[in-house]
Amino acid sequence: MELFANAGLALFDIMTDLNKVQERQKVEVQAEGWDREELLINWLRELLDCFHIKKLLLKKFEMVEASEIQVRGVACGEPIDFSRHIIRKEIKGATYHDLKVEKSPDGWMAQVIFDI
Amino acid sequence: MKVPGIIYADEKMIEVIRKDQSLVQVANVAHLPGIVKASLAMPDIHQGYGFPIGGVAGISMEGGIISPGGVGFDINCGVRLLKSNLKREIVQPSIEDLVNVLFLNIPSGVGSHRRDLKLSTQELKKVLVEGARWAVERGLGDKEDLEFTEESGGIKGADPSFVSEKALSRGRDQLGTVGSGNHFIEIGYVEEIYDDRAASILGLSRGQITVLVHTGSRGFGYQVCDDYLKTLSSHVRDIGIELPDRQLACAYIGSEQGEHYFKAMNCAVNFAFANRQIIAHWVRESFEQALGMKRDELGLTMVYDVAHNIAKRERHIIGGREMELMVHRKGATRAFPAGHPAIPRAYSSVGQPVLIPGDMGRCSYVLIGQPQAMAETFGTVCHGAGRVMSRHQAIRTAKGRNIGKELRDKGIIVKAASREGFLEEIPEAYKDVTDVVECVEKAGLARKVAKLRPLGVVKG
Repeated sequence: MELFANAGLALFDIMTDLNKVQERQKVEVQAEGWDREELLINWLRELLDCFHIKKLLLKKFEMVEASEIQVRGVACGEPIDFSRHIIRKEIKGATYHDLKVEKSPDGWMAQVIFDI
Repeated sequence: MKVPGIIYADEKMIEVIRKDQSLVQVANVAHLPGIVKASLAMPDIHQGYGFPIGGVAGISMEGGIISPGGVGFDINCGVRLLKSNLKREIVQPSIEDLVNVLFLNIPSGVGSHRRDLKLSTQELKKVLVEGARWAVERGLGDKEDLEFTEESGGIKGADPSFVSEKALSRGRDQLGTVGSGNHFIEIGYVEEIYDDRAASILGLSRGQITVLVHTGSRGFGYQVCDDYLKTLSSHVRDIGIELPDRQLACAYIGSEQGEHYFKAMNCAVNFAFANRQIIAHWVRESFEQALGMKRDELGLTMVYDVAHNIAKRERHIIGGREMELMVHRKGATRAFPAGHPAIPRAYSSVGQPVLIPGDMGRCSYVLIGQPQAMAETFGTVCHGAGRVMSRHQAIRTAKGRNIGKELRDKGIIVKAASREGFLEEIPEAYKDVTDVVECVEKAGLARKVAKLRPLGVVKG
């Protein structure tokens, strides 16, 4: 579960300074996938929809449920305000390129190449 | 591999090409069902997602596949070239004003869009079917512009019912925007003419001011590609196609899933044609505003508009017989020769113009397609210079330097929506487009007509 929360945090952290993002709005996010890699990519796709379509920046992720094929969580943030938020790098999408979700001695590790 | 991989490059280029995964990707593409002749790569090849950028694959309509990865995320990313009645000496003193006016009038960079172009979903769906014609019919350009655009600016077979709500949402605010990354509007001039007859037919002359517009289908096309990568990624599992790379997700041409992607892709193709049409119209308005000249005096008219990320149904001769193929061009440009029925009648005696933009510090080229391209590469050549540095590497290389001043000292004014976006695009981040074009010409695929030099650039 932490892996998915951290992946969400990493995604938005690349795009903007999260210190400037307030926790004013909550949104429920869920995703499915037929394996761990597909699940992670679909989770990130849902978060990118929050950015591109709902125009939100998200900084806090509380996972409610995670299984091999489904994840659900509540993300917290606020609408993009170009007067306060600088988008330093727009992430257009999450790709399958070199995608990895693996267990290591230190815990679960994921590698995703974002298209910018 | 079902067919060989063929890379067009010289010895110096192949050493650079070996440094990333492009050659592995050329080999992976050669595994695709229905691929004919060869998995091809142009001299500007570099690593992409699934297919390499600069990759070309002709796939049989019978038993072959269509793959979003073979088109790219930025569907119909392409280039439009305008010529003018203006000479460099007249415009150069005002270049800074021109660049500033273009920057104000034409949205570039993340989140920018013009408030006077607001579309309902219904209207957006018309754009997706009609393409550039939608814009022209609303006074955003001239009818003649369509004649000099690939597919007359509106490809048939677009069906918005196969486009997701997400893609429509992303696209609604982005029509008439340049975007970021390597997209740009460039005012330049013709520095050199290599073929007087061809240049005369294309309307190009030494010292003439030109405008290049490089952009595509923005977030709309991106979402279409991503939607179908997701769908087709599980589809290939269902139909038992084994792929060396998930980004090669595909469907059989003519299958329900294949048709859906094709129809959605064509919507994005038309979005991009409309996008470049609208931007070109605003370029004309910006010139009028900045130079205080009337439209007729300026004479900003089309040379051509060409796609470099697209999959098209075309007929080609393979092994002595005519076959219908789905030609995937990802970072590769159509280059049809003289006499081909698909090119503008005005160019029939000389061939289709091929527009090859270089980096913002060097030059760009106009070529014309040759019969050799039809024989060897499904009538295709390169699309640009190709990156040799990642964006991070480019920013590190630019550290401590005043890139804006370096370009200004060369007589080039650049205005960018973001500093990082600007630094990522430093000239050294790219191959020298001259090397790429020389390679294509030596291979007999296309012939140089003119070299263009930049004077002023607007970037996202």
